[in-house]
Amino acid sequence: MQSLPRGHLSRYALRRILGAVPLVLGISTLLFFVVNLAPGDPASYLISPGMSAEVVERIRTSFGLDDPVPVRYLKWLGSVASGDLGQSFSQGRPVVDVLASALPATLLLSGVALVLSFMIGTVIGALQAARHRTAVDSTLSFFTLFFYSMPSFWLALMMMLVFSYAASTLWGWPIWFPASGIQGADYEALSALGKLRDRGMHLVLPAASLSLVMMGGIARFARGSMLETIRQDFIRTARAKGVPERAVLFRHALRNALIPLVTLLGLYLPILFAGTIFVEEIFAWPGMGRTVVGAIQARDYPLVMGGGLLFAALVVIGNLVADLLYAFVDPRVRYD
Amino acid sequence: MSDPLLEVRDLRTWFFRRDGLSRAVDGVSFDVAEGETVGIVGESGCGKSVTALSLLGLHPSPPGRVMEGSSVRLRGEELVGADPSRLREIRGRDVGMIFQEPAAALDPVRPVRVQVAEALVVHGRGSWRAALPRSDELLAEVGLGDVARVGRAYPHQLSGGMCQRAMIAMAVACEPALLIADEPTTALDATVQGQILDLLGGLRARRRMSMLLITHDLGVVAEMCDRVLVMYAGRIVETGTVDQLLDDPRHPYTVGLLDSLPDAGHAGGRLRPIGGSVPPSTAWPTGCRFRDRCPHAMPRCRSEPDLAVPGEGRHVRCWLAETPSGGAGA
Repeated sequence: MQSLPRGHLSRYALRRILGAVPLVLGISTLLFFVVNLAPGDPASYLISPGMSAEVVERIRTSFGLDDPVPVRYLKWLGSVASGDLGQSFSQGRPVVDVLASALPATLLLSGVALVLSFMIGTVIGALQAARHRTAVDSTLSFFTLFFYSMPSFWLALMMMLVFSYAASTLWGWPIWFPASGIQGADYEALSALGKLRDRGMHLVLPAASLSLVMMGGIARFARGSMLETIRQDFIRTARAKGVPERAVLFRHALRNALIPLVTLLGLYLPILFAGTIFVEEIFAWPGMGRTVVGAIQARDYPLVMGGGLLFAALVVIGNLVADLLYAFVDPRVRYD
Repeated sequence: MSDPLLEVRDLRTWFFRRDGLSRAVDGVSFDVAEGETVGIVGESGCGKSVTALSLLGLHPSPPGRVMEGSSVRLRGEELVGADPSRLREIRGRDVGMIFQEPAAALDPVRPVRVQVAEALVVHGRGSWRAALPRSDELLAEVGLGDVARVGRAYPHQLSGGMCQRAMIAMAVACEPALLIADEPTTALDATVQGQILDLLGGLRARRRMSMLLITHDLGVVAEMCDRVLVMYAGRIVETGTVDQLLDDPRHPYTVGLLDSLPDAGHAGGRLRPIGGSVPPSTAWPTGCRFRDRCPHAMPRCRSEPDLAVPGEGRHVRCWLAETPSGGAGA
């Protein structure tokens, strides 16, 4: 009992990863047929009215579109199994390269949004519970509900309007934020500190649009979890032994109230990535979301499939991480 | 005679609930002397636990409130309306507390020895580094023998009896003058109950602690207490030494409690439980609150008797107890 009895953590993780393989396979199958059975195909972008039927057929063959869909599916599956996601029609590069260059921007944006929304959301929820039924509680409830009920793409447009356009052009605020891209045009000419500042400024609006919406939901959940925890016997025990109120709330109540929030973490990942797609598109953030949206518009089947596969894998891995996190927040959890 | 350690006068803890005003504790007065063990007995819903909790302001608040005119003095210092930071100093240092559900009373995500050590640290009895070894000693003192193992365990890895021992270690860590035990053995197996009572008795003797023991179990009272307060419907209805109360109960409610025990002087006889149940605390009866369930109820009971004094240190809240020979007993 010296070290915590946690069952076989690594074996559990391995089993979960193996279990995720059929899941990701299922998702990709569904995705493949939805994408390929949708009307229109990539070749139609290259075909002009005067072309002969023979030329059209040659273009279609070059994209591998002359096979029936099930055959194409099996071929695609075979190449994925060997680690090849194919060639992007629209970008003329391997899909793997396209995704590899887009992934870091997405991980940066969604990582910052996830950390911010959970940290701020939890603190707000805890504060509300500590000031239960006061003006502080109801004011914060108003704002969390406000942001919780807001679609992130609309919030993104409004933030852009206010903090970028109006702030710089109409009101002449000393600080305003860039509305598009991940870095300024003069980025390469900046000093190291200037580069960091430039990146940070570009991150503010997209990250805020994503995290405010999630933060609203997380704060509301954290408030409920805290109120639930505060009623428990061990909180009374902590007070009875003379623990200061602040430590009762943060050392005992918050620590226990965090346990159900870990579940929420897993549930929020798909919402986060879905939000990323819209927000990246709006702020011209060169990440996965923007890449996939572009690929869908261009009927770039291999890139859509590769992006979908990567998003699915990220959600599955994220959920696994959330489950393993339980072991750190709740000693009662055993993996076996 | 020296002043008592704890003086409670006219304690009234009311709950302003949505469904009405609950006068859970409604004018309770008693003393606990240095080194004395006082028991509070009564059925569930009589206000015993709320009495214990409100002494240190630990009752749920809101909706609970200790009303104006109530007084709780510890070594002469008034605790009702005291500064919250002063109350915090007293909790755990001068007065320790243990509760009914030991497994739920411990923080599920912290090792037991850390929780015991916290009691020392918050009262300035050393750093965490110094408090942890001291907490191992305390755990050993309460009979959690394999300290290296038990101390590092989490509450869910221990039995109810072990959790209660850990709670006791935590409650006595700062050598309090008074230990308040709220139904400390109710949730435990019969054999474990005896062990916990032995442990409490031993600690009390070694440390010359006073105890306030809340229980509905008259057997526990007989074993542990010097004096007893019988509570009914938010009020004390009878007080006396353990012998007085068990041998010569005067209030019909006390008589009823004793009669409902399996072997309280009625060997071979049938149990005679008290009819009915405690009324809801939002609607205590007027006059004598036991009137509706009392076999001796009479017209006079429509007005409530004071705590009459039939003998040395004895008080009974019953009209029948006023006449020296007029025991209400069976």
